[in-house]
Amino acid sequence: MSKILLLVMVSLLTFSPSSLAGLSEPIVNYHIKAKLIPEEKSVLGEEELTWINDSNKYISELQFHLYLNAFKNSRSTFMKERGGVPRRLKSNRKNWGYIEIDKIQVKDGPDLTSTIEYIQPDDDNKDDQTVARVTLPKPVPPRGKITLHIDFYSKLSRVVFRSGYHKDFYFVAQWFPKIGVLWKGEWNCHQYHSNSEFFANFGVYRVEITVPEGFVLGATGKRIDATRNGDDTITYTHFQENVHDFAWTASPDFLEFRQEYSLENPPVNTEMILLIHPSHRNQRWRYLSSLKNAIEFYSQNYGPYPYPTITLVDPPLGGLGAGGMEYPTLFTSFAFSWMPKGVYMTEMVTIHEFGHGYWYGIVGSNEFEEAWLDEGINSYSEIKAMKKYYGEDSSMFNIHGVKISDQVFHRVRIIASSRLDPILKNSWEYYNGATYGINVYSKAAFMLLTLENYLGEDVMSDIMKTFYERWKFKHPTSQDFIALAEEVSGQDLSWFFDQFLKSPDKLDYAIGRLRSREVERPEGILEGEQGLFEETEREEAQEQDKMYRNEVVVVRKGELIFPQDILVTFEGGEEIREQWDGKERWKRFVYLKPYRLRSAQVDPDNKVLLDDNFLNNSRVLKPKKIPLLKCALDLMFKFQAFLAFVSF
Amino acid sequence: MKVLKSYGSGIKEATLQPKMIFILWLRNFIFGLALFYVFFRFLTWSIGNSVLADSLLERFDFSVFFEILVHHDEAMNLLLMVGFVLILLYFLVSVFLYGGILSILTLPPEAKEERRRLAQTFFQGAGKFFGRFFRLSIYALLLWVAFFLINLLLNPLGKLLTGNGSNEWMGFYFFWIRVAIGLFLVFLIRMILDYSRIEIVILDSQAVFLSFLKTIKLVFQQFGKTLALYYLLVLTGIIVIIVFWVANSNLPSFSSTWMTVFIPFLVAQLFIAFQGWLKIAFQSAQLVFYLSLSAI
Ligand SMILES: [Zn+2]
Repeated sequence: MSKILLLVMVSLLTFSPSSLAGLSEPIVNYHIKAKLIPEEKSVLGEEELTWINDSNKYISELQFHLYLNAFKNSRSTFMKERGGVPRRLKSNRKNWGYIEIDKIQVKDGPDLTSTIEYIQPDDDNKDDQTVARVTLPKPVPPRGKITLHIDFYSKLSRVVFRSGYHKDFYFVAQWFPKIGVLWKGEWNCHQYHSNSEFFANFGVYRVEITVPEGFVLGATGKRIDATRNGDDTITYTHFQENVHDFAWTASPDFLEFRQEYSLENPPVNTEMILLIHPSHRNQRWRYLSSLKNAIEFYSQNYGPYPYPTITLVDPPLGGLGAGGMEYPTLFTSFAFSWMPKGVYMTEMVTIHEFGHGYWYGIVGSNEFEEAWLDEGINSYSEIKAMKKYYGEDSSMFNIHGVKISDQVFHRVRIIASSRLDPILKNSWEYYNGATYGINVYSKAAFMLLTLENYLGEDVMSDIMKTFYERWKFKHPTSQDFIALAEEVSGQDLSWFFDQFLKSPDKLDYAIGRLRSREVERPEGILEGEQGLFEETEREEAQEQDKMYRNEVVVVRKGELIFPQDILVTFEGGEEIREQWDGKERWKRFVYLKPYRLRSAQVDPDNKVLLDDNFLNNSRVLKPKKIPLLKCALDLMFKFQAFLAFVSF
Repeated sequence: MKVLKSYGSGIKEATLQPKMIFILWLRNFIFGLALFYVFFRFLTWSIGNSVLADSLLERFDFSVFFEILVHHDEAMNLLLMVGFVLILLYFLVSVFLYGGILSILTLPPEAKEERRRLAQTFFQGAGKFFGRFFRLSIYALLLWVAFFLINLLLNPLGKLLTGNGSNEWMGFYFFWIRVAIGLFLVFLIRMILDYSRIEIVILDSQAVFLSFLKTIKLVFQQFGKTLALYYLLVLTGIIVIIVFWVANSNLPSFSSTWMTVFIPFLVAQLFIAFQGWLKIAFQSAQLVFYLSLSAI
């Protein structure tokens, strides 16, 4: 016991003191001993969990996630939601994965094993075994504590999704019996779904992992001990506070690169640990540079990276199912050895997954219920970071002058979507995986970019920094974000979030009509002097003061409302800017001018990024043919060259 | 030596046939123009009224392209259909023109009358051989089936070589090897068909399938030489493509936007005309080579 205490104190010294200090006693404290058994593709584990009841209720039942049971058979909710069993699992019984609790006991108290019962809080799929509850003989009182001892066996599946093995590569995530979150006095412990990630309390993790000697290990937190066991195995101990999950990976093939990273403003000191599969050794520079960019960007824009380590794992080709996933202080990206320099996929995934260290890792929102809070905010951050480091219009692809930005990729997903779901919804209740992704990643990111353009970059920057600072190591909800945005901006933003967060509808403003007519002299029976011209006089007068009635009609084609700027240009070069609250279905602007209108644009500065159709945002009175001609001739030639080639 | 001589006379003969080059260019141009018309109308309708149209004058802007793709997907599908139909028609027209080209190229030097009425000779030949060449294209499906079978056979080889996809570099190289093999086979099939048509025209053979089989045999009997000749011509094509590409990317910038559009267009048409020239060179060189074989 005293040794543990000593190690805890030593490791505390290595933290940057300002960012991690000052937290009350953590709700969970895990001490796990795990042994990798390569022959069985499994992990044998012993877990000591201390849990604090931070509600004001007496709690007589505990709920646990047994995530690996999602890979147990085709009847799990996860497999059913996926719509079929992946081929990699099908061929052999050994390919599947599961977790068994061999024993669960109150420390120095009664055995609870016989009370284990699988429950399905989200659906009525009785075959799903990803959540279990145990009944306590004596309830835990408010602010009371309980320590449990759990023996478990985790059989890994072949890597299909996030965790598992591929040959000698092991990615061990969602692997131990993990207690649910007691949220406002009720258990918040969702099943493992196809479209959802996770939620857990912050706490302390001390994990001792035993692997065969020769295996390279990477894990959440800082390594505080390594002991040879004399039986060709080695036990590594990792420790981390203020995290809400623990994942690890092991493979004899990993190349390990360690490098210190430090930043002066804000002060950051951390160790970058790269675990790279040998076939991707040539991609090391790519990983390293994008990880540095990521740490810098998030530290400068949200808050200094607070942990002593960050581990980047590069899975082998057959283990790509584990790629692109985040865990506290450890994440996976992916690369191909032949990937050309101008393709920034790896950079994007590295920045995105590192970013989750903030939006998920440190700001611990509920990914089951409000996935946009981590995926959306993180995609927003990712788009901005990619733009900063890889170019405004080339942040995803830049080869031989062909440029595509990360932002454009997200936009295509949004405008091509069928708009079946809003951004805010339980993750597993989306129509399918695609609408989940479009909404919680892309649309949420665009919502925030649009908000940034509306409030101004400085205000938005304040919002994000304050959100991070106030909610780090806590569990904010959407309402918390909205309240904070309103507080920092000093504006009522309910109209904004009510629409964009909660409605699947479309935002689309367009120039509906453009007209320029010469004003005719009044005719007919008129009172007064007008109309009493002689023929010749009349013609002269017309020559002198020819007037045009220029008309612009702006229309709202979508259901959602957003204030609009309108830019009207005239032939003389005059420009007029108008503003419209956008509430009605249309608005007409009329200008009597001695010259004609040239064009009109809604949102001329392209600030309303959520607008569904940019093509109809502007209209010119006289279309220019040359650009169209050039484009069509280009295509014509390509077609001609193709025909010439096929008919050699 | 025979190969080089055939190559030389092929190039020479093609250069002496400006009218035929014109016909081939015109065929290509008309089909190009058809697509141009449809696409231009589409652009005018979809983006012509927008200020975004200006962006089309610059480099190809994907953000605008995606916008069109998403908001006018049905029209885009229609456009693809039009392209597909044009390709089919183009194929038929090409089969037709082959007869004309070969009729002219096989004219004996003493056929002065026919040379005087070149257009008539051309189209008469085209009409005469259209049915046979069309049948030949159908028999050629056998070769294309073989092509796909070979491709299928490469799959297990690929799995073996790349350790079931776990060796990335091998996978990468193997992909390019497959491309190379694929191109080689495509060229081989085209070469066989070239000789088949030559044989049909020279012998005025009605037994198309027999000619087809005979030329397959011929090509493989003289494999080194037929291949050498073919790739000499391919190389000529590649060199000109490179020259064109360099010329095109070094075009001076023009002050008038009309010139910016028009000059590259002219260069492009020159390139297409060159493709016609190359086509004739292929036919002519292989014809000379074929004749030199039967002369033995
Ligand atoms: Zn993410």
